[in-house]
Amino acid sequence: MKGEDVMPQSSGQQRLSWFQRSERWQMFTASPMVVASAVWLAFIVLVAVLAPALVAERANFQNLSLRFFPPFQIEQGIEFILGGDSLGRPILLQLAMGAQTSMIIAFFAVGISSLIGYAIGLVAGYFGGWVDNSLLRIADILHTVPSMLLALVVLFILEPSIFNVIIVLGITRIPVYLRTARAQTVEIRERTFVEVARSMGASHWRIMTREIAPLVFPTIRTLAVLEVAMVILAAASLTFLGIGLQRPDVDWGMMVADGKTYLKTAWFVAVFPGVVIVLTALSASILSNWLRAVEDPTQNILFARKPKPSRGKAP
Amino acid sequence: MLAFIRGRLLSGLLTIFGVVVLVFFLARLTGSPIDLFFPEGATQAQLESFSRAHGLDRPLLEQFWVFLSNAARGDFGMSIWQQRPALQAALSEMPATLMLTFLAMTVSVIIAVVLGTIAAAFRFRLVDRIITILTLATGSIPHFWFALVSILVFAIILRLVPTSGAGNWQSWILPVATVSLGPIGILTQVTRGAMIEVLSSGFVRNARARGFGSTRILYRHALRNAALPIIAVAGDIAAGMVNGAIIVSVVFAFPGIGKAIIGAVLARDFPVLQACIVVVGIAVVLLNLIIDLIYVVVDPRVRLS
Repeated sequence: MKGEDVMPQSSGQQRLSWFQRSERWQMFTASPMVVASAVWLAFIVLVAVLAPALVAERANFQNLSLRFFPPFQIEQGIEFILGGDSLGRPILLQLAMGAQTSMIIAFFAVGISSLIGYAIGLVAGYFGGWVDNSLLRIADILHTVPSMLLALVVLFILEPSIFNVIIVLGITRIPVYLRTARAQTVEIRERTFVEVARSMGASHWRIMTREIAPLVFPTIRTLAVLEVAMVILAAASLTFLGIGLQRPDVDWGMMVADGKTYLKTAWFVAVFPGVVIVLTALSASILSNWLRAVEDPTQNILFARKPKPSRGKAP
Repeated sequence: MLAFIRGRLLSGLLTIFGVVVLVFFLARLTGSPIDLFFPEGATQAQLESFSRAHGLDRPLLEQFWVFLSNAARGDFGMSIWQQRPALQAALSEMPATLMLTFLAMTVSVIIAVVLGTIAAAFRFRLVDRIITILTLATGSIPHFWFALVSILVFAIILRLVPTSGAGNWQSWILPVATVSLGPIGILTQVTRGAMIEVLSSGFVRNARARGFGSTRILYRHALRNAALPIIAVAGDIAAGMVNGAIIVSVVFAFPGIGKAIIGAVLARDFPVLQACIVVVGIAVVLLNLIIDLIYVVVDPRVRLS
């Protein structure tokens, strides 16, 4: 780690050498759990993209004779393998439709909050002063009001819709990135290579975008992957409370809410959507954890290499 | 020490002021706050008389001033559905929430410290990996689903606890478990990280060299020093516990601020909602202050900074 100051990276643009890349790939394939998480997320994204075109009609077809059709039976075809819901709709296909809603919300909410938080955090950390102070204060205030309460109030004022859920979650999650980006910027701005760039006449803009930002980016990326999990959970909680969305839009949280009343008679209606939420959120957490281990192998987390590495053979 | 408390109090007051301002502007976000204060279907005459009586036809700055001075006196208006002040409606639900938060905090810190210490002591071994995966999993389980599944398993199938309400002590078990779930995961990770750092530090090696047993080193030397980050993170978690409390009030029909919040949302009772935000904000600020004080007591170094 000491080498960094002696040999400053002349530019923040780090190119992965062949060596590093192959090592990264090895770390990926070394853990079956990471591979499984990535595969599951890819599968959910694929379903989210394809489901509306392929199964939208059959997913919403109500067949009251199949009301609470028990799961794990294939008499009614594979689409009823997870049973039927309170209106006789196939739960499996409803889950597929819900995947689209959850993925859209997660993608855009994380996109909005990470970009804004990243940018503001960089500027605040780089310039410091009263702008920095007041931004931190605002982040503090947002942090004091529990996120779900804030989301409830905003959705109380606005109409429930996918767009508004994205806006609410996009804004309330900004402080997470802002604090992280700011803290890192404050630290990096004091390093020698930034000083070198400054002495060579680089503008503030250039130092921020070319020297500092690329070093902050990996942390923000790791955080964003973790936030996918957080946003999926938060969005599901809102729709579970019945204030995020309205039919015909459907997501996993809403499906759990539908099944809430029938817990005694038809447990599967509430349980399966929850299982999908847990699997998806857990996959994102595991991937995020793995990314952190890749970026900083010394950190002691799940996928960090063991302290007694067999450094003998070449990678 | 006094200066430290004063500084924290001031910054807390500033935050609460910010929350009040936030509440005011949220209400004006739609352009016409009158709609918020009335359920759908109110007549035009009703709207106008309300607007005049509450000064909603005055300039924005004047409205803001009136709102601030009323809020400073604890006046958030009358609840629209319950015949009592909004602040009272919010405050009357706080004891149950504070109790829930206190219990959940205690339970999660104890479990997290035990699990985290075990994980750190056996780091990179199988036990550690299992604990780490479990803590990741707890963070990925939505409150509402955990609550429902726990009702299904423990109340409906096993009949060990009641499905809802807050009558006897058994009815507190599932709500506390629901609210603690996420914090246990986070705090276990923090404990593990802090313990690993402490265990590799000089004074622990020194203690080991002097021949103290591992258990004694873990609990007497390491855990004390690892307590700081745990306390710091516990403060952050406090605000999140209200999120869990909201869900718990819906699923378990459990009393608490969550019940007031959800009730206000469903009844479109905006004054109560405003009062709830401010009350929760103050509670979180106070909780953070208490945690800061504990921090100072545990670590004398903080006092100097």
